[in-house]
Amino acid sequence: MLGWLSTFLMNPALAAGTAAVAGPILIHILSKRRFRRVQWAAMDFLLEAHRHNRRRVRMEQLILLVLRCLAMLLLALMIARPFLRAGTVGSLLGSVGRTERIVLLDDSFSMGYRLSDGQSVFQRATAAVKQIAQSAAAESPADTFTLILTSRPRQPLCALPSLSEENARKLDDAIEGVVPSQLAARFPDATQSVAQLIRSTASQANTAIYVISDFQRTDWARTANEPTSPALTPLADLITQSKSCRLTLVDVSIDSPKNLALTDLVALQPQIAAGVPARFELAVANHSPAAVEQLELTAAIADQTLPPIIIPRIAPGQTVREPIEITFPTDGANQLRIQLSGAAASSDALALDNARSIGAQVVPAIHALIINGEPGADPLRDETYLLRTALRPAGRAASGFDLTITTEQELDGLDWSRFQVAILANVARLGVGPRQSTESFARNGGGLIIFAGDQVDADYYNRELFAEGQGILPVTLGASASPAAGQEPFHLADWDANHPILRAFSGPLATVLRQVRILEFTSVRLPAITTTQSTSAPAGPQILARYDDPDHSPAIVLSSFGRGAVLFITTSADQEWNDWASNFSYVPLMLEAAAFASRSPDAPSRITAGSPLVFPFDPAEYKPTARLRTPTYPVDPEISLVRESLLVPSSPTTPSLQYDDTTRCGLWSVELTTTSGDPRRSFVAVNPDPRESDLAPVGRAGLETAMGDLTYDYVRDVAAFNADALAARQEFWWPLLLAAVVVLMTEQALAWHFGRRVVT
Amino acid sequence: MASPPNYLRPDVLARISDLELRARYAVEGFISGMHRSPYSGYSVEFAQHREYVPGDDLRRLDWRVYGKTDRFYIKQYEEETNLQAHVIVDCSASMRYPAHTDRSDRLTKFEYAATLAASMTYLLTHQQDAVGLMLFDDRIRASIAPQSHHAHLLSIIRQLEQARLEHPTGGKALFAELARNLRRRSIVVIISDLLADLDELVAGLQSMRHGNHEVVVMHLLDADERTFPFQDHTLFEGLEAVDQNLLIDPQSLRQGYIAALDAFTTRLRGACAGAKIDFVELSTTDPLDIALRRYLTARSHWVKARA
Repeated sequence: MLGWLSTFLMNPALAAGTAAVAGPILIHILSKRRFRRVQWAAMDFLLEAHRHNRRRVRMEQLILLVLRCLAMLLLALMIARPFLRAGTVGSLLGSVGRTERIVLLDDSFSMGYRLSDGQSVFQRATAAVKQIAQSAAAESPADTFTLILTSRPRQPLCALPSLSEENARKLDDAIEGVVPSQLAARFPDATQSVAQLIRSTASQANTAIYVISDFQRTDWARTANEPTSPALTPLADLITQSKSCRLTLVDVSIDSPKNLALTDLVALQPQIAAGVPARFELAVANHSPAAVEQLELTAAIADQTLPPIIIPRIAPGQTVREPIEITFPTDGANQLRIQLSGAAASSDALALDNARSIGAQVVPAIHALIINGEPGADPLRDETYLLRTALRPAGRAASGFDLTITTEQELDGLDWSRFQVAILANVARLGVGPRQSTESFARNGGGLIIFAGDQVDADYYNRELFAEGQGILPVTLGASASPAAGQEPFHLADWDANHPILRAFSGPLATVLRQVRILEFTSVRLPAITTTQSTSAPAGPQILARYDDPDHSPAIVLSSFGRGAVLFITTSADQEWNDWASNFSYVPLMLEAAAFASRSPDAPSRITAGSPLVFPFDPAEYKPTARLRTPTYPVDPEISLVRESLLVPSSPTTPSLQYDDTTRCGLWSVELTTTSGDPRRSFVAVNPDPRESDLAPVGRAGLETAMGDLTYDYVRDVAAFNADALAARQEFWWPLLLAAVVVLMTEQALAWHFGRRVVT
Repeated sequence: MASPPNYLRPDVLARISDLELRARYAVEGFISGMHRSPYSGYSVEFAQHREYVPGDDLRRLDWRVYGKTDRFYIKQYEEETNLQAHVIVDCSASMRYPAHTDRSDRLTKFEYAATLAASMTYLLTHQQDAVGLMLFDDRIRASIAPQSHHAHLLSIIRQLEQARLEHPTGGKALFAELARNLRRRSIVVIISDLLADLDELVAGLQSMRHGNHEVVVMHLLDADERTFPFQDHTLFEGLEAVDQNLLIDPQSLRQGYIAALDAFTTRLRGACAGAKIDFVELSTTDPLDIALRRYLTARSHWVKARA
């Protein structure tokens, strides 16, 4: 009560004086109780006068009583010294009194940064929210107050119609329960919601928008061609057009944040086979002013911890990408989790981005289909003998490939769907059926590797497979080329060592590849206009390697068809046109090429927190109910998704399930049941947004630039800001005194007027 | 009654002693006027001479004494007048006002009325006129036939002393009864606060006039009743109707009360004028002699007008 009174009284305790209002009423009542008795003769006149004047008398008495009470009230208020805030004064002067206060609180995971005193930046921010609410309540309690979290911009955490004491308590309760989310702050979304909220209320009230954030540079910096930071673009119009819309940026960032973060963990091959080393790449960012030495990371497959990974040094501000090889011993749903360990992890102030996971659907083997264009009983004459030996060597060493060798004639009726990659070795031409099967195989993500050879019918290839750029072949074929007689054979001369296929051949190993002797190759012509009107298709064919012939002809051409990758190798798979198979590089290159081209699993292995989890879900194969377990299962219950309600066609052919509320980082498990009743489980890792890990604040100057022409208040110290607001109090005891005097004089005048008619 | 009220107050009588001549004059004038009436020939027997004072009828100057002594003397006669007067005093409960103790030094209306009645009786008997008394409230409570000797005054005073102020004022029937009790034509002086139903009152007064009596109405009210000077919250309790109570702020009702009283008085006066009844307003604060003087002066004017 006192707290509420202190919002407009200097001496709230003296407000008890308003009880003096009861004074005149008491006197009135008491005077009615204390009366004289007179035995009166002329009662008739008295009764008549009473009958005629009763109402007027009562009215006069009431008026006088009210005036006396009013005078007492005014005097009591005057003693309590009431005051007005700047906002209230403005409202008295005719502007709209109520302000809609909208607080946008950044609850991204970067706000969980622990300060040296044990507090988190988020706690600072919530304290700022409370302070803003308090000072707003003190200034004008009728204001509405809406608290919006950036993680859930469409559902305000708190929407208070006024800032009464009870509502303020509600707000406090609501804030108490909030912890930073595991999401990145998507400010454009959040400010869009704020703008919608303001527009939907459609009132002419003033609007005060407060943005409480650590103002990371990644969120707030603006590029030269944007008028304002994209974070605020949805609000820019509102703020520039309306003078009644005020923006206050409350910066709770710290000056020199230190954060080590695992910013990426990615599998480098589409398919992972059990028992075969799979390559992953992880990225560690050092967002701090000091270098980090001997950083230790721990990897774990499910519960099995692997030997630690050591990164020797990460310079300040640098991100180091580190390839690692992990061998999953069993097939099926697997998971890999990497996290910082050791001293660096324990001293890191932001814990969430110290670990990343990835789900892995490990296959027993990668199924490869080899279409042999020149089968032969003699292994040395057979086109694919060397190739299949390379892909599946004899002995105990596992290559991870399971091969099916066939010929062009045997393709009819073959079920392509179980293969991940198909290799056409020196195939003269394809029948109509096999060609269509090949195309749909590639379109659905299957990989194609096409080797040239002496049997290849260039005209057929150009007509049917290139098909004016619409076919699977990225290039048109020309004549085969050989070095002139007596000349040195050609060599591979120039290749993209960054590409996964050729990655191994850099440094000393480059000489190995360079030693391959090419006796003949098919010359190719790249299409003149590679990207015509199709915008969805990736840019035209990519030449991964060239020969050292005078034209620098392409040796390996990579392109895509549908979702599948197409590799065209312009020389033969066997040793007819080269001696590649005798070279040390042949086996790894073929393995890498086959692994690279193989079809990616449909299901995602990792997504960023907050982005929708889209999971392929073929109704012909699975029962309609899917079960989703969050990383906190069994604390949080399983989520049941029913196909009917959540069927989202991600493509015309593949129905999928979608789940949007991926707010929790970690491994999610999706369990589908096949129509025959077998459960199929897979893991999807939900990882924090790496952009959020870069804590560097945009800073005041940076904001100045980012905001462009927008006017705003920048606040570092909320307490001082509120103190400024409090200083705007205006006392008005003197008008009250004046009013009291006027009321008393009116009372006297009226009393005299009412009594004047006594004299006859 | 431990100390019976003395309605013949010496101070009042002393003050009115000089009225004697005027009273006599008025009465005589009245009587002269009556000469033209069928009543004729009243006995005249010389009594004494009295020195002339201005205002005496010059016709009564004794010219022979003037011739002898150069002094003016008036001849006075033992008169045997046919004047009969009835003093009718209201003894209803309302005449008790002011009944409360703090007004003990003031006369109640009845005390004032009784004093006035006694004084009149004294005056009239002093000039050998016959005076009768009637006390009434809702009916006639006491009646003394008119006589003219001095001892008669005492019986009248005793009768006034024994009055009990208990009953309300009566209406039309009462006045009819009063009129029936007045056999001969006479002067009828009614002293009352007249707090009764106005219509019945007017009708009753007019019926009194039918007997050809000379009616004088002395409307006696307490000063409080005329000015209503009360300030504080007051519970007014009816003197005549005990169940009538009214708790009010008197200041707020003063105007209305006075207006109601004025309306009443105006109508009463109009009715009296219409019925040729003398109407005299009196307050208990008016000195008795002034009251008498006012009446007598009015009376003499009336007599002159008739003459």
